[in-house]
Amino acid sequence: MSSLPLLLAQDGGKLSADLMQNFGAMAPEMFLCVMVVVMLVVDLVRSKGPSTLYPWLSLGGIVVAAGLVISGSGDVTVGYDDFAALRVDGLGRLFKLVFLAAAALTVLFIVRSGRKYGREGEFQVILFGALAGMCYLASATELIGFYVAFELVSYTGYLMAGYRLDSAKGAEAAGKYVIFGSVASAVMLFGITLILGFAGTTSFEGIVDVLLAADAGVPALWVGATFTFAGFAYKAAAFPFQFWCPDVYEGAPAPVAGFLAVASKAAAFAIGLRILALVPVAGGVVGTPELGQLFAHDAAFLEKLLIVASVCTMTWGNLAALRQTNLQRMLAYSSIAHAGYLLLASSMVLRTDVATDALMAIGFYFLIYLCMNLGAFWIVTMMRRDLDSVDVTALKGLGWKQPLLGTCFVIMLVSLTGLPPTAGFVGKLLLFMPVIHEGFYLFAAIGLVNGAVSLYYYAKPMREMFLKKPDDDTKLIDCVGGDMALVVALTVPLVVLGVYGWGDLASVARDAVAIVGGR
Amino acid sequence: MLLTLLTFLPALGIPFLFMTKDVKTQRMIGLATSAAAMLLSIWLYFQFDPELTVLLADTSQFGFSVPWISVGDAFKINYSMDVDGVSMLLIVLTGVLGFLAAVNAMSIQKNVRGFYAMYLLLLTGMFGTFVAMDLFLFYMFWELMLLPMYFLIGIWGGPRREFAAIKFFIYTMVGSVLMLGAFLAVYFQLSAAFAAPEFAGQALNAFSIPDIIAHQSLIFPGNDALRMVLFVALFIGFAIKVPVFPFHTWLPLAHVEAPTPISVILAGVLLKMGGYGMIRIAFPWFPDAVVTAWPWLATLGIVSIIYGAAVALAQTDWKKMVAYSSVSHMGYVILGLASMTEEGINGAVIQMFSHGLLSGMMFLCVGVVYEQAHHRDLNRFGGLLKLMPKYTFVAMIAFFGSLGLPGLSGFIAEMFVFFGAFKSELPHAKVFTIIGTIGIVMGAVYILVMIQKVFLGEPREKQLHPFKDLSFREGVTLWPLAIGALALGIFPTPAFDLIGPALHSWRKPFVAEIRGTEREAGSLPPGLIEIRDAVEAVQTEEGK
Repeated sequence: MSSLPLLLAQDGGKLSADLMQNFGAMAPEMFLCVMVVVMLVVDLVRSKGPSTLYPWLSLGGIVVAAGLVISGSGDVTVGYDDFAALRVDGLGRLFKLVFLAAAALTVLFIVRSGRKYGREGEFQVILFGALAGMCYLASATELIGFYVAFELVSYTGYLMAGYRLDSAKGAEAAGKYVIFGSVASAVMLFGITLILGFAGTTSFEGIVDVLLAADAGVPALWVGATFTFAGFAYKAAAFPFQFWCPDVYEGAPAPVAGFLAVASKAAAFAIGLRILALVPVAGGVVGTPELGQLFAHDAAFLEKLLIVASVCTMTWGNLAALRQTNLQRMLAYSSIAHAGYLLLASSMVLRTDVATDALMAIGFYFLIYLCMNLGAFWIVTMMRRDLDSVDVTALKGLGWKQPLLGTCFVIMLVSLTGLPPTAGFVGKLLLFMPVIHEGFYLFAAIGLVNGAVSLYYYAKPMREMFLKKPDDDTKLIDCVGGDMALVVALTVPLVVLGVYGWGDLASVARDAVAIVGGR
Repeated sequence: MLLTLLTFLPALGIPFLFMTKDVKTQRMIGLATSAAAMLLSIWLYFQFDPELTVLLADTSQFGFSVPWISVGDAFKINYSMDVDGVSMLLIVLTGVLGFLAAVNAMSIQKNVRGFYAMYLLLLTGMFGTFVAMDLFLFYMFWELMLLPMYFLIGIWGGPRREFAAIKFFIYTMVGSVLMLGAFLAVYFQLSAAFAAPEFAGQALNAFSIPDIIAHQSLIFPGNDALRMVLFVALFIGFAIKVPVFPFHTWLPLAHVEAPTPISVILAGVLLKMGGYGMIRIAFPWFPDAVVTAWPWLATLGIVSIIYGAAVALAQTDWKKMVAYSSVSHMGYVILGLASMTEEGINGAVIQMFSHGLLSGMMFLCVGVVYEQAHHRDLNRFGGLLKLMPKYTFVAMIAFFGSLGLPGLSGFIAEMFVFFGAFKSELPHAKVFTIIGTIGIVMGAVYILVMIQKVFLGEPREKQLHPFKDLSFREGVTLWPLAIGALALGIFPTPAFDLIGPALHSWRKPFVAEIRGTEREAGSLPPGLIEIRDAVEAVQTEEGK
């Protein structure tokens, strides 16, 4: 094993780029980096006045990047003879498409948000930086590249959260994000150091091999693993590292909050799943789990950690969301709850017999979540624009005045709750299936009942819109043309995939992730 | 395909609602669509051969199954529907009540289009639930009912409608997610079991309700505790809908706040979903758990009967009284089903049908007076007999039927339930039954007190509102139900013929389970059990 080639350069000659294998597979990431520079230059050259050039350029760049992602195929390793830096496979491609789609929608939302933030060019630069980091992250297979990409995503996130310079809340959001974020990064870096020191390699696969071979009683390893997990938990807004999330999502511009809630979270899951898929735990045979036994089978340490974190995350998110009336803040808590559901399914990736199903479920869920959550954030964006308020009471009677918008929003909320016949139900069903398959009935029940609890707060906007009559104070959301098209475009998949065709999409997702399941 | 047509016929009316702005036309569309669904359901009833009790068999009349969704080879979901006698009876009930409630809803003024759109969607959900034979499909229809109901109560309901709507919504959803969890657990067990070589040629599907029932013994064989947990999860899911004490607290609120036509549907059809779910899913999947849980089931049934009656007695709000009477009457269903005798289960299903007719009538009756008096305070009425003789006549059929007066449907149902429960071989059945009969007395008390307060005596609020007697439209909604209640009370044979064969074969695994338990417990010497079985077999043959 040639360990740490990047750090020690023991075989000096290998570090030249022409020896790097399959460099072309990195095309999307490379292109996104180029786009950062392009946007920067464009911003410098034409600095006067607002321009519609930026969003179109951005969208074009995103489409090209998506094309590059799709054009790749198979399972390609980028790196040196015996050292992989990146693995470009179905799982990575699936997540990269999620990032890119979320970014495209965010660009559109920002344009249509009607706010003159100024500095449009800057925002696009940051956005492409974030995308490059996320895409790299989704394919990273070793610690150094992973950490750099992780920090790239974090820093761009801080900048985007503080994009509203004029608002105190925006500044608070960015401040909190930076402080919590740097602490989490530091903790994670410490964890990585411990692992690196013990394993002597930066390759995930190598680390897992060493960990599995090592005596499980080495405390430094588990401290390292826990600390590293903390970094992920922070990014995914998982318990107990979720405290930044409501404040940041509330203070950030709504489109940015949506981007953070979907893309940033997806990035953390993408890399987390890649690592988890490397750790084989003997799959539980469908059998007869003993009742009263919290962990139905002999669960590994990592599994226990994930399950406990997930249950706490979803419960905390849902309970805290119950009292919210600020829609943007409510969606922040709801995104914490959804991180909990996703974490529960992630813990099942460790089990070899359901790993593929769990990966498929999470990939599928992100595709659905992209539509329903960004749809909800888009409506919040419009509320801020036209109603000057993101409180649910601002929606009073709106459903009667704007039935199409109201209906679409109800469908999104129902989908977020996870009720049939929407795609949200299917997504949740797929998420919980591996959990039940492995016999964790208690945790599945907690998760499912959490869904019922979430109904209470998701029903609040429905109640305001349809159960209350409009009065003279009711302002309308100026949602016509392109705005409405966006709403409808995000709603239609929720219904269509809820009753028909989700099987096909799930099959595609399954085929995409199947390669990873087999290590 | 006829069942697909029946299910989606109501939903087909929704687009037409949005083509016209004229309120009257919208009402006509709602009415015509529900009338068409009713006629189709009745036509299906006359076509139906109740002797075909095997669901989704090649011989089934209306049954079919086509592949719907599959994810690789991971799982396959079929779009499958079928009916047996029990679901046929409930479909007819849904069709009839669906139309009559739509007639009643013509008095709704607020956003007529929205009302009928939600209402028709609800009808689709109800029909779908009764015909779905695939778990996924069943669950979809089951949940499809929630959202329209939320809006129907929440928008068109009474003063506390918002709270009532969300309480109904969350209660039902908690129940249904527990159900979903149990579905998935059973699904994984059986799909693993069905992969065994012995089932190679049989094309079994672990989402198919008949396949699961036929192979219920393969669900966690030997693990009684886990089977019990799954049964309890399913039972709670359905018990919330029934509702069985102590899961009933959503019901009075929802019933009282809902507009009259929705109260009718809620009491008449939606509560039957719970009973139907137990018959179709919870009970036959875990016959052993049902037999073990008998004392608990009987207790819950009896507590519901007595508690519902006692609380109904204490009400001053007329509609609330009727709502609590539902808790009481649905308790009979649980008692009858759990008794596992031929009489008991037939009585339970007849009680479901009878309660659908009678509670629908009672809510309509309350609605007639409420629309004129604008209050429902029992203590402020009086002498309606003199003011509204025609109305009083119909109302008496409803309330006396509910009381269990011989000659009306309620009597037949309750009598069979108590006969069955008394005859049951399950432990302490006689004690439970005797305690349960207290409910009959209490039922008589609250109904008679109410009749005395409302209909007898001198008219008290004559000056305030001139009570007009039954209008034509009100008569149209009430009389068919009254005739149904009378017909079922005097000549119930067609109903028993319809449900009898299906319930007869439905009961077999439970009987086997009870006999098996007896053998284990040694309560009867083995020889005696065989003799008794032989005698009963001969009796059954003679009966045919």
